Amino acid sequence: MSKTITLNLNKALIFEAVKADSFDTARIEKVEDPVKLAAAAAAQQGGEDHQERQMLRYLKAALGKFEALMSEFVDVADGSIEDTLSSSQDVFTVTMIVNDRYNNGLATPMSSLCEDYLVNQMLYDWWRKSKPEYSKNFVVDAQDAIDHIRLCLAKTAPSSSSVDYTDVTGTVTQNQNQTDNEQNNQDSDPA
Amino acid sequence: MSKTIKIQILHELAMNSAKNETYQMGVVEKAVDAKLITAAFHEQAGNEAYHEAMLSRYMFSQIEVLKTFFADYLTGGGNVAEDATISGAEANGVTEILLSVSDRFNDGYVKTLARLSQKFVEDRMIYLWWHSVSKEFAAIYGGAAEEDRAGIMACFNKTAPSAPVYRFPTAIEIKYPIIPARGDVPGIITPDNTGHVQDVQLFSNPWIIGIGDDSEISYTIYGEDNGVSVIDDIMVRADNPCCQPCIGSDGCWHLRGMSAGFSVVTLFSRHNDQVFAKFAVRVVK
Repeated sequence: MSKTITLNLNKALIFEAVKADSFDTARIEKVEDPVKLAAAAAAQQGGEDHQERQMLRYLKAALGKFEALMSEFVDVADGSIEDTLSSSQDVFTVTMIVNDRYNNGLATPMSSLCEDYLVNQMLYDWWRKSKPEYSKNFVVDAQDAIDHIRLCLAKTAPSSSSVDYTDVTGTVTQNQNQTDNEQNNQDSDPA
Repeated sequence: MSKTIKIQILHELAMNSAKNETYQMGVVEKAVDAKLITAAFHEQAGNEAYHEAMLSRYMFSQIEVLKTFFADYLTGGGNVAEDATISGAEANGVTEILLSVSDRFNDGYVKTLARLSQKFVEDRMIYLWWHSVSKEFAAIYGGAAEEDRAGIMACFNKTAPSAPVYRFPTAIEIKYPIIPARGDVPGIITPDNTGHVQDVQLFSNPWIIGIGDDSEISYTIYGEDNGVSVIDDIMVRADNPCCQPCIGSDGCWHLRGMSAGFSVVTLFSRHNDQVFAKFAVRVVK
């Protein structure tokens, strides 16, 4: 028995989150030191074709890592985890076939956490070259998201059995073979 | 004598017990150390097809182990073989085990035996489940299974032998002479109809024998259990010496006519006041 979880994710939303985060960081740097104007412009992600292509690459890598991490939890079957990520479509889905005892209520939290993981992982990749120290924060955040995604996949308790322990009973039957013989003797006994 | 015991192992219950126990262990482990989330997930026997297959294998093999425990206690034709139910009952999720055991098996323990047998199968299943994951947990359930086994053996303690008893009659039925009722006058008085009959009425409907005749009195006695091994303690008494009860050459009671007259003849048990029969006799020349 199994269930299918579908995570609906939006590529544009993820890119926007990465851009907003890097924009913010670069702006603070400029304020602190105007000499860094040019550096900040380069650090602020977005818009340029090459940056878009970079982000798509980061996203694919991050999604790949996510799916690999989920391999412990999906059903032992071919195609039990799949995604529809492409360069042309904004919306993509991740489909996972999981245990029947997955808690349906955690599908939406899992979707949000998955997006959080992807964004943090992409930011790590983005900052890794220009600001290695800064990028480490995002590793921690990504790990945190993964830990909570794992919690979403905990098994619920087994469903209760339709039989109860008191239903376990035994019976005894007295065997009559020998008493039948004695009865026959008695029949020939009348005085 | 022997008894047939039937116990049932409920498959669904066994599978469910294994899932519950392992689920709880996994939850506790996760709580102790959050790093064990993935490990706990796999320790919890779940609804994955391969988990079900493993549990199923454990269950059916351990039911067979259970049956071997009974080997020492079987009587009769070694009737553990009557477990034709293994194949037939699987559809209903029940394994029926029939045992032919000593008559001195204590009936009160049959439910205990059934429940301990069920629990043994479950404990062994969980033991086998943990065996590949945690020796520590496996040991806990292995120990529990041993306790179940000891309990199962104890159920077969023989009760004390039943005391020997003499079984005296509880009812008598006259076969001969045949003295049918005539009108309101019954032919033979037995404990069932003493309430409304006076002895004197018997004289209206006597059995007639001649002086010097030697006539057999025939009866059947009944005891508990519908006459198993009942002991013949019947005595015969005549109220008047005109006739004389005696043991004939065939070992049966006879009535001999001595002189003309009337008498009431009583057959009675020496041990049971409620067992008697009366009839009247007229002795003629």
